[in-house]
Amino acid sequence: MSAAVEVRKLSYQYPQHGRLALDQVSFSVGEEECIGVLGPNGAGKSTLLLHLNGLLPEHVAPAPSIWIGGEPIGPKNLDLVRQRVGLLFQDPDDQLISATVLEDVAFGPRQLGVEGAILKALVGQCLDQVGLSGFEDRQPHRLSHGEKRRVCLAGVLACKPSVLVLDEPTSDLDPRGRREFKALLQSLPGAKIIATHDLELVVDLCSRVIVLDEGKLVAEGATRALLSNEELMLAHGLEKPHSLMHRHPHGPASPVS
Amino acid sequence: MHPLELESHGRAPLAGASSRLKLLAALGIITLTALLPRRPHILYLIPATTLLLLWPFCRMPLGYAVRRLLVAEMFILGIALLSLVRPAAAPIFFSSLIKSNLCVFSMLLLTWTTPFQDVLQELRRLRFPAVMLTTLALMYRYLPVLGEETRRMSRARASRTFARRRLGTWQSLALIIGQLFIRSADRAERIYLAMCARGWK
Repeated sequence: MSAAVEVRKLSYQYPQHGRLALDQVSFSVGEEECIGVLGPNGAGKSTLLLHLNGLLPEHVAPAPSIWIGGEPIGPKNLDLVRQRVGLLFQDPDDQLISATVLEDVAFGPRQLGVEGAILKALVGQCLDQVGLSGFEDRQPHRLSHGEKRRVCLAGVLACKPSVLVLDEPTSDLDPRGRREFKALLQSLPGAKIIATHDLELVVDLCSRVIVLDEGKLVAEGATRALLSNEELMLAHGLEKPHSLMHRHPHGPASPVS
Repeated sequence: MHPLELESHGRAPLAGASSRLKLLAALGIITLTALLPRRPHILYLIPATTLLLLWPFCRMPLGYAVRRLLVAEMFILGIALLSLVRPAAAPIFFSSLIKSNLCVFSMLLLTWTTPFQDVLQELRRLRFPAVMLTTLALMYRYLPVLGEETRRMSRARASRTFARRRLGTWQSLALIIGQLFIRSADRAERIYLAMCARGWK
């Protein structure tokens, strides 16, 4: 069985200043697997995510470096790739482009030719899935940050992707919003790739992590084992998460020393 | 509050009228004004009188109209000044000023009595070009975002402004406008990517 996402020797150089943003990065993600992409600012995390959706490179290379569900990303199947890979951007205001929630969630399916009653039902179903039933006529600028993020996720889910790619999904969320969004992500099926600085989120959701630094994949492994390696974490601008340092009085998980 | 959401919507007698009718009337007045002679002429009284007659039914305050017209005046003057490079420019200069003000005033009356979303919907029904409608819809969506960004930058700058000098204020304003322009360009790039990510072509 093929992996949901397969990346082989992916390199990318920014055309503006020639800096190498990704250097021979290789990894794969299973069909129901959730992996975390970690690294300091400027490590190449967001650039990697844009590649997974076919948004980068600007001109698709003739020899593929990324396979989605066994199919290589190429100039001819970008539409299919963008339907299969749902990308949630860091700033919800970049993603919420329509005047109402309904219009925004319907944006993706409309590009796929879904219209009328089927579209309306699909929008309702996706809003229900993210816990925002009845928000159809609300205007994006009147939503809280957490609600905006949920609407963005509904818009992504409306395209029925098999892989979810999330860029800093919990940044700017308050603790309750963060907890609720984490539970929501946990409930979603399919492969998930989460680029984040929120290491507690990674501990709770991801079975495996990869660490990027200066465009290179510097470490890959099981979440708890890798995040417990304090030396490695500090060397790449990260920290050992709090939950792996102390035993929580009510939690079943035991810390890894 | 959205800058294009006015409390007036729904209060003026003309607010209850059909959005399509109001839009077509405004576009009609604008077209008629544009077709008038390129020098100040008695025919200019036709759109001017029509607008003045409609004004009481819109209940748009004079102060609001003047403030908005003053904002538009910078652009109107910029365009009108271009006509001065031609020989016998004065009539064209004044006609540009009058015509532009009449057109802007008719749009002010329309937006005072009609929510922007209704205007957009009617334009869509009238089969206006999709690119133009997308541009207008994105402008409507991102006005509050840009407004909020401007407020944040102004606050941050004010927190580091220790001496009140007129020149300093203007310099700060210029910096904020420049920064806003750069940030808007970056945001536009990200919005485009987000649209492409959901299949937009």
